[in-house]
Amino acid sequence: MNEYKTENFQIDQLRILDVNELHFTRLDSGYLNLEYHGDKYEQVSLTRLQPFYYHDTNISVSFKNNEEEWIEIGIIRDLNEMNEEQKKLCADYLEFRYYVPLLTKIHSIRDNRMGYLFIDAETTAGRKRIAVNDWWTNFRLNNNGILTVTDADGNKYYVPHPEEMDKKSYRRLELFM
Amino acid sequence: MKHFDILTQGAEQALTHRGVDTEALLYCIKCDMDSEGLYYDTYVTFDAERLYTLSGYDRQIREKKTFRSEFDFRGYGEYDMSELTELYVDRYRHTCRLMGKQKEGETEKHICISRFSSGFSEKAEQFCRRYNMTVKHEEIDDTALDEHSPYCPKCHNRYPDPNRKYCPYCVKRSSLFRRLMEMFGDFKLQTASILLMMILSAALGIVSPYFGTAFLYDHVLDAAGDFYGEILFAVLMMAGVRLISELFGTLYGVVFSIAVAKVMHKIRVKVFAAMEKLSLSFFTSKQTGSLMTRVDRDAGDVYDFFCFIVPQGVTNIIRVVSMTVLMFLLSPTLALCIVGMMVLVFISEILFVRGQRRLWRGCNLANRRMNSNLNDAINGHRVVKAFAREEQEIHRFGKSLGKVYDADMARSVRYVKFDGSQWVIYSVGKALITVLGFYLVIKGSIGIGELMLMISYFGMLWDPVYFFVYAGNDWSRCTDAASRIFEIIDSQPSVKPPADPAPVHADGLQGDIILKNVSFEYEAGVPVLKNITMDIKKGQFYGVVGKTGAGKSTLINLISRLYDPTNGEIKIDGIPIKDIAFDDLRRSIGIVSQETYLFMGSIADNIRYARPEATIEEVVEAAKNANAHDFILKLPDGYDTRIGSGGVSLSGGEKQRISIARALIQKPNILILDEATASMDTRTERKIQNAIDNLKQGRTIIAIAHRLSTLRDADMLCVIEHGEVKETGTHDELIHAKGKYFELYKLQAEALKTIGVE
Repeated sequence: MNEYKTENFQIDQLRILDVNELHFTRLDSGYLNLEYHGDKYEQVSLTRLQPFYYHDTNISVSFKNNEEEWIEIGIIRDLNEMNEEQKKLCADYLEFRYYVPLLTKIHSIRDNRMGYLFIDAETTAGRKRIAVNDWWTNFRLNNNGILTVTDADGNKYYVPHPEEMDKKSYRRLELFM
Repeated sequence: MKHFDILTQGAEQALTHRGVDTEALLYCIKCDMDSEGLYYDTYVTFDAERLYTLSGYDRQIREKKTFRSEFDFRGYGEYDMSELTELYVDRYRHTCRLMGKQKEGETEKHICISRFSSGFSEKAEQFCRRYNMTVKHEEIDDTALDEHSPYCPKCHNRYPDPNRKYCPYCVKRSSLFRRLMEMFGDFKLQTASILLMMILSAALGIVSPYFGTAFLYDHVLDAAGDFYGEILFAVLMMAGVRLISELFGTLYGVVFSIAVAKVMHKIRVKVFAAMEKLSLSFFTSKQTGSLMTRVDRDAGDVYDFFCFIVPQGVTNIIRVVSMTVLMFLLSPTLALCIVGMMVLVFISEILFVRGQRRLWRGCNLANRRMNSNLNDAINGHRVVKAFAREEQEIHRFGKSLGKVYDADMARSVRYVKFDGSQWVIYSVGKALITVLGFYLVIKGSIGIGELMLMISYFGMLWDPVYFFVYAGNDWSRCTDAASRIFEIIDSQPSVKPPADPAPVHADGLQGDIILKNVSFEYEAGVPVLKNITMDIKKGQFYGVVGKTGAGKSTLINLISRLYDPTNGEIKIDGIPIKDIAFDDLRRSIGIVSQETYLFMGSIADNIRYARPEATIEEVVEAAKNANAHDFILKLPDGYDTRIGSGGVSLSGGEKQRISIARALIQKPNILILDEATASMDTRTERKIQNAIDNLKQGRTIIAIAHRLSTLRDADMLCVIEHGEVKETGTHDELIHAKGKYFELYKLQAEALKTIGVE
């Protein structure tokens, strides 16, 4: 019964991982396996604690237990403390995991006056016509100056710094920020 | 192949070219990304033996009036079902991968089949499930998909909300206008009355300047006039027209007030009634604020259509046309100048409004942000005070208020500047017309009175011009509101009452409940309950145990038919619940949930909510059974104490006891207690337990509880974990089995030991 006592009464504590002990391996499927202090974890997940602010620091590493629950192994303070090969592996995984098309140019924004905006935009993934319902909720400018647009299907697009876009695009977007 | 995406002609040809029999394909989805994250069309489809992928770019080539589909081929793949044994969706932050488990000899490896934006994940999950069932040769029931196709039949895009057949790509404002006009049927008397008053008022408005100008100058003051010298008659005519005009004005005011009240009442009742008929899923998917806005503000915007836009539009058209015709009859030259000037004014107004709209939006945005901040600070005032952050909140609110000030100033300054310039245009225009008019008078083309009449009409034309400039905004607001209102009116309840309800026992359902292979998911691909089978006998006290999020409350929602299971069947007294009339079902089931909601009104009214005809003796009996009687007596007005907004505040435990009394007064044969005693102290809980024990006779009780002590007297217990039934049995049986229940029991016992309770 000790394990249950532990589950019930032990307080979760911040566990900073020793980067020298971390050994990630990438599978053909794109998943990462981890070996840490002799323990082996399959298909681990890396999560940025502050995805809008820090890309390489404070990365949570977790795995799925037998009961399909995600359990945190610990936190990597800074990917730059890892060796080059391990750092690249983690950075590539995070890049893939957090991939989101960026809006680079706004050709037009049409309001159909029935609750929908149609944005004809150039994105880093190609040109796209995006339908946005209820723009008040689905245009979000965070404190870091990143504009998040969520379309009617639930897909997300970012504009990292709207004021750095070309003038016409910015003027079109400005109305909704 | 009916689901999920349709192969374009080009894609179909590309598959046929590679030897695929497209007639035999069962399901298909279209993914939108390549491995690098670039937009790329990938069709994934399968027949009874293989899965195929076709990648490239769909292109639509315009040919005269039609489009021809072409597929720019880039890649093809096929997988044998005997090797690709399972498909699943691997979700990332904003994208997903369609993954497969492929056999390689004795081992199994995971392969990526395609990648797509997260908005496609729901259909991908459904596609995977169907693939996996096909691999296992299981029967697939697509009835739900057939009934509620989430795709627009015109453009095949997915509806943003699967419960709402509304496609933003295809809907036209003209169709909304048609539907709004159809609603006229309900309000034709009111609209016709307003219209009639407005037309009469407009006609008088056009006629009245005549008596003060052309009639007075050309017929009364002119020696050659028909009424020369009859000043009294002219004054009486002017006063008479004015009096009639005022009378019509008053009458219009009365008719309008009556019509407005009736139209608003009808629209609000219509929207609210449509909303009340919808299932629980509709309410859980929408914010309360947004639904309240629909009943209140949106109804107001639609009412504008009936009471302002249509009547004023019609009268203003009549005014413009009749005044223009009259002016051309009096003096074509002067009329041409006036109309030309009005067209210029109209264009400049349109351009101004277009720019002003941007500033209006800015104001709107700034105001909404300021209100959000205000709302945040007022609702969170306890936290603000507890952390002494008043100065910070004052600064935050001041900042957002500053933005409102800036936006308002920008809008007002532009308006004032433009208004000034319009006044200059008006004055200059009037002067030019007067000069030209006097020139025509001197030439003898028109009389002085006629000139005065035309100058009056020049002034009167400004109102209709303003109306048509600003009507666009009102119309947009109205169509926006109408589309939201029609969304509610058109929504179909996801849980439908039976067309032909099965007869039930006169005393209601008796309480034999059977769940057979029941599964449920709120969100496609995320099962909350998996293959649940239960047999609850009439009169049994059935306890359901499990961790938070295990699916216990969902189970209750299914038994009371607030949702329908995705798979499987539930029967009560041998009758499938889908065949039981809502009234019979709800009359037989009393629910006390963890979230208690009490309505505004007296305590007695709240207790007798489900049975308004219950006597005060029955109310008191139910309150006593729920251990609420004593605290109710201590309240200032006993059972008449008002609760809710502006009334007495009750604690969580007190509210819960009233909600138990509300369920008990129905005398239901099936009583469901979903953490009903969670917010009560142990003594009160024990009292209620005793009360429930008294009610057990002849009643089926299903109780969910975290505290196992609550379920100590249960005839049968069931442990649910991750949406699955892990164990079933009596307390003793489960303790002996040393399984999940035993673990939970020991955990709670350990917890009690640490606080010194053995």
